[in-house]
Amino acid sequence: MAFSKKDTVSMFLGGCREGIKTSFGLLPTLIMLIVAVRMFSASGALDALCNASLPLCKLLGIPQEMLPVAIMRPVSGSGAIATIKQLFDTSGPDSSAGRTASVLMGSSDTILYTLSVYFSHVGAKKTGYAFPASFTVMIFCIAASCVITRYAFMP
Amino acid sequence: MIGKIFCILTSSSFAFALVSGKMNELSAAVLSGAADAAALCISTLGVMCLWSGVIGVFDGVGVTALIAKVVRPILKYIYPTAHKTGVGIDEIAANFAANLLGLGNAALPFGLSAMEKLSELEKKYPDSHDMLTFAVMNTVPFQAFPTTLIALREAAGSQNPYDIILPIYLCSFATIIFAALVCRLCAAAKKTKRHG
Repeated sequence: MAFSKKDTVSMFLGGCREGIKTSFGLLPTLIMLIVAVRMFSASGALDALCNASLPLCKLLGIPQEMLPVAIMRPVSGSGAIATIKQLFDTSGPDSSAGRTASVLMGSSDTILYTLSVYFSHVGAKKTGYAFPASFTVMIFCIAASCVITRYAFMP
Repeated sequence: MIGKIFCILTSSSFAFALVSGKMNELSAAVLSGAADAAALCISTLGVMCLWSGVIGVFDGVGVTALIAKVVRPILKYIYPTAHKTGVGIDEIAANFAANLLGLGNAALPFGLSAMEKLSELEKKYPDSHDMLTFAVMNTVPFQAFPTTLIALREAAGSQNPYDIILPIYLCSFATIIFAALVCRLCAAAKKTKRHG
């Protein structure tokens, strides 16, 4: 049996040590990321961005109540949770905006966090098309969640 | 690109805070943000170590290679160079499996070690796009069960907190296919630029 031949305890401890290195290695990126995102929402720039996107929203038929969620989703995980909570409180989780936002939330992730952490971990300065491609995918995901929710919950 | 994004975020925040007189809120956000980042790092340290330890055992005993064998046929099309050379494909497969099972905490260390291997791969094969593809594919989750979201819906008094699950699967599936296509197109566009 493979288990008895190899020293699993030292494998586990070795892995744990790697985990400590990884965790603290990510801390500088986390500080930069979280501070920047907090600044953005505290300064009122986020609200301004939401207001500026309202006409576009109406044009595309996106429920406008879910706009803060759509804007926050690629930027900050905890921020997106806070905005969706607010949406549930004001419009209700079973409203069309509530459902669309739920679908979007469940099928997308925080792009900024994932890409910053992944690329800074390997020390890559050039990220190629990773950011534009990810944001394109995010836009597709917003559109898909609107369309799918509309057809899934047809009266 | 990361640098540019942070420059835009911070400088536009400064400008907005100056104009709307929210400088106090801004400085409070800076301080609490830095403290919360450190708190997040410490609070996830234990789980991170635990999963990294489990991964260490899995690698040593051969479970990672076994998982890779099972999901490799799917990954062949998305990561051709990693598949051909065998560099990083085990880690990609393990990351994929952990995501599929909803083990986000385990997926991150696997993902990071996959990035290490793929960046080595990229040095050897500059034409390969597997690292960029992997990063982009990781911005699209395929959660088996969105626990936090269901809990939030339930807490808000939803009639049926679970009725969004099927639409989420549909939407995730469509998004994953779209992401793979976008990566392919970007890679192809870059290749023609370099060679033609």
